[in-house]
Amino acid sequence: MTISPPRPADDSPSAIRPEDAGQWTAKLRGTAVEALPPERLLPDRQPAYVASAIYVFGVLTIAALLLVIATGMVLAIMGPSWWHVSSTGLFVNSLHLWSVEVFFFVMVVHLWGKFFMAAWRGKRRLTWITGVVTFVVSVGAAFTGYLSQQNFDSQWISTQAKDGINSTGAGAVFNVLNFGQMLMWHIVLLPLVVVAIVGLHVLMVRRRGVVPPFALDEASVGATSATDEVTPATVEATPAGADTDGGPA
Amino acid sequence: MPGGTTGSARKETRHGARGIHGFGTVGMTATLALLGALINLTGPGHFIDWGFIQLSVANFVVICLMVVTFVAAILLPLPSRRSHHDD
Repeated sequence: MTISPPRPADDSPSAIRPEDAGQWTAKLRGTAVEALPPERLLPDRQPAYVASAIYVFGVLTIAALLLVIATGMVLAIMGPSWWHVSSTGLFVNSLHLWSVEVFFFVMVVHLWGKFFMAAWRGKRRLTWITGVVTFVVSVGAAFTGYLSQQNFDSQWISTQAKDGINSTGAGAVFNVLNFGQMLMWHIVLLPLVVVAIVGLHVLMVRRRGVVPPFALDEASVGATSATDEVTPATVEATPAGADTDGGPA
Repeated sequence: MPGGTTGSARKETRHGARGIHGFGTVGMTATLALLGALINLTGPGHFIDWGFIQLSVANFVVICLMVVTFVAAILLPLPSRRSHHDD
């Protein structure tokens, strides 16, 4: 039995003993803490420019996504006979549909807002790209969802879509007439991808900060990193209670 | 009986129409009927055809709502707890 030596003087959770510095766990932990220190991961205050309604739509998108996932899990547990016949099932099915509608609605407004802010500025390219990829993958997730309804609507959509998909050559591996395949894409593969990319997107927002307005960005010219975030005197911190963009930026 | 309500009818209104869940079946049915009367969803959908741009009226309405929301989000002030800082 090995007895661990006492921890180093710096007893923080990320402290690395010199003899452990070569281990991959220590390296990974050190890199992660350096990139996303707790105070940046869960900040208490935000720049003043975040106090605008246009910054709300990122976190609204995440809220809608959570509702989509929660209602989808209930539908997966209970099955088609429940969501088509019982009143509660119809209600949850409608919640699933309308939360998707809200998800896309607020995500598009969020996308427009970030596009006109040129939100890829300040080393935020990966933030922008993960947002775009999330949008595209979400379209696929919604499409396979419509194919998984188990009703005439899904039959109509699949028979209309097959020609388009086949014309791209993708029909050999993505057969919209194969219900089992479409269901698995809808409830396993695509949700995993969406959640993973959204998670990365949010981490990138936390790492780089919310993109500043153009004028403030020009004021920050000379900053060595976008993570130094715009701390010009003109920007006042605002309480986290007014933080409106915990989500994609 | 014109111009009045019998005791039993009043009782039915209080208990039968509202039901045990508060809003009641009658209220729900009336609300749905009212919403259904506003927009006629029976029959084929309506489409907009502007050259190569073809989209349903429903999608067009959603796009318009998104534009309105986008503009409102930029122009309207966000409620804040400013009084907390003014102290």
